Amino acid sequence: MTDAPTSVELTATRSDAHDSPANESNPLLGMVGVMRRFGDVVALDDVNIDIVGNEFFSLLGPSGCGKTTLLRIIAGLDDPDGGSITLDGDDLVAMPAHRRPVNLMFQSYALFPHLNVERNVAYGLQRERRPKAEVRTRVGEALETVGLDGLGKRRINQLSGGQRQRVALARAIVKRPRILLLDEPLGALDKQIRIQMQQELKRLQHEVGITFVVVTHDQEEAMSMADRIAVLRDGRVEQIASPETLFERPATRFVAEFIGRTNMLEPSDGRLFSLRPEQLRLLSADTAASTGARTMAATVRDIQFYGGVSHCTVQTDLSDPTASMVGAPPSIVVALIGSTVVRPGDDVVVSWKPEHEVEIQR
Amino acid sequence: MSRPSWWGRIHLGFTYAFLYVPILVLVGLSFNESGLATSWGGFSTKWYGELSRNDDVQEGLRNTLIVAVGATVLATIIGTLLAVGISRHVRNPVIESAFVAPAVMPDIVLAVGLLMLFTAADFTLGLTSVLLSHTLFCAAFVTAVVRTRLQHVDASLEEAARDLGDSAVGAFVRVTLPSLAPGILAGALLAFTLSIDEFVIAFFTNGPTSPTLPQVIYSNVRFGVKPDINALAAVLLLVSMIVVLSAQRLARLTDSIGQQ
Repeated sequence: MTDAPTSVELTATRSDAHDSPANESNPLLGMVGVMRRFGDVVALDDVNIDIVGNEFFSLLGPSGCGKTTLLRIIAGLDDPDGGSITLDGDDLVAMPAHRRPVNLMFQSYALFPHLNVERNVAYGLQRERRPKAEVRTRVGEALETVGLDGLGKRRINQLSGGQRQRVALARAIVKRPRILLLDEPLGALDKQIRIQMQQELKRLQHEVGITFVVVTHDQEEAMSMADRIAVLRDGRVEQIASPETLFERPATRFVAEFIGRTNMLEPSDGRLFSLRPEQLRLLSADTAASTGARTMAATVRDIQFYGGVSHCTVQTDLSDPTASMVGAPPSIVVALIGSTVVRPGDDVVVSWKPEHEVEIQR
Repeated sequence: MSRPSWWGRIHLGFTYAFLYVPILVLVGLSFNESGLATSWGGFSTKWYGELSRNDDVQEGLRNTLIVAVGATVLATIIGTLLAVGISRHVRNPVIESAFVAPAVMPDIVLAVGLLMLFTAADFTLGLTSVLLSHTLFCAAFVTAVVRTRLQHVDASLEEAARDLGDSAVGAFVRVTLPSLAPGILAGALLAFTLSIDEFVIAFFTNGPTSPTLPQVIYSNVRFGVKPDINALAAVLLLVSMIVVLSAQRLARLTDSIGQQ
């Protein structure tokens, strides 16, 4: 993204971004050909995902894509109709839910209403028949980790939504699972708390060193937290990659359109290209474009101002004789930093570098 | 809530009078020295004394309590399990609501049907047959009450307990039952009050040697209301009021412990 026309000098790049697990031969959690049907509906269709240790992994997709079903299958609350799931190479499917070293944080949190905070968190350790002193110490530590020390005696109905979420987190991590599964962990929270909790989840994952698998339908949430993301659609994996790769090199049209906004270019040769609004530049009609750049005459139609960035929708002049590329859609979205000087009705030239056109599968 | 207007208060007063005057008359007469409905002979508790010496009433009360306690325990267990089972496994709306039939069908139909069944099965009529019959219709009420509670309880609770390492039975006992407790308790108290004053089914399914309290009252009243029956009715009123009030109190208590 370093040469994006609209970006400032310092762009965020994560050096540790990786698209495939570092240790492919030995994934922590290996899913091969996982299938699940509900009657005639195929919820999961040949899902293959490897998740490595200490990874913050996200299952991303619209509602009904099968992501929650997959999470429940990993937790043991549902059984696959086919395929295999292994944890450290051992078969996980044969293991009953209560024996799996995997814990799930439910979307509803599923806190026990008749127990106080402390006893909710202690529940899993008591089932392991841990000594009382150990339970007390570990519950205290877990509550401290999530920032709830001192609230152990509170009843669940005395807690705010954010506090309930922290209790649910503490209850899951206190068992020190190999994998923590989180089902839409931030879905029930206000936007303000949600952004704060995104950072906290990240921090927590580093601190406790547990592999996180987060299900979400919110692409911004997945992008901001996850090391790698599997994009699911209709029970199938569309692409597994780092957030940067998903954004810069989407493999399919669905991914390109689901992650951020994009413009689709369809040249007559049947191929398909994605062009991110962030890679486009708007020039006044009389400015010469830099060499090698593609250009196209256009008219500004609409500007949406989001604070830090504006999305400017322009209508392309498809008959422009100087257009250096055919196949542009009738309207293109251009992202501009801050507010803009252009106004609806202005004649402009859209310009981009050919290398930012990303070819994708149809 | 705004305060009612004068017209609203009069309306309310008349309605409550309509509901409560018969009961107040009864309670008043139970303290009437003369024992007659037509003349006031001064305040007295002598009919309560008579009542305590009435062996038929003592016997009936004992039988009724045996039936009510037994039926309540059985109906609460069956009704709770049925409610949970229906909510988990039944998707057919007809079967889902069929449990309610014994609660809504006329008592007389149920009573005749039960009598036929006991006769066909060559089952000796007595307190056991009454107890089983009461269990039947009380279980329907318990199921209905617990189902209502289930709708307010997070369906993921038991899965969460399993996920945290509990066995199926442990999760049910440690998480599902406590979260349903307000509904189970309310259902049990409802079953108890329904059984205690049930007459029609007891009349049909009971044997001759062990009448329940409503049956004792009925056989007494056939030869004119004796004043000690007024006293008995007043005592029953007091008992059922205590049960209802404590049910409300308990429901509020457990609900504050529970969700929302």
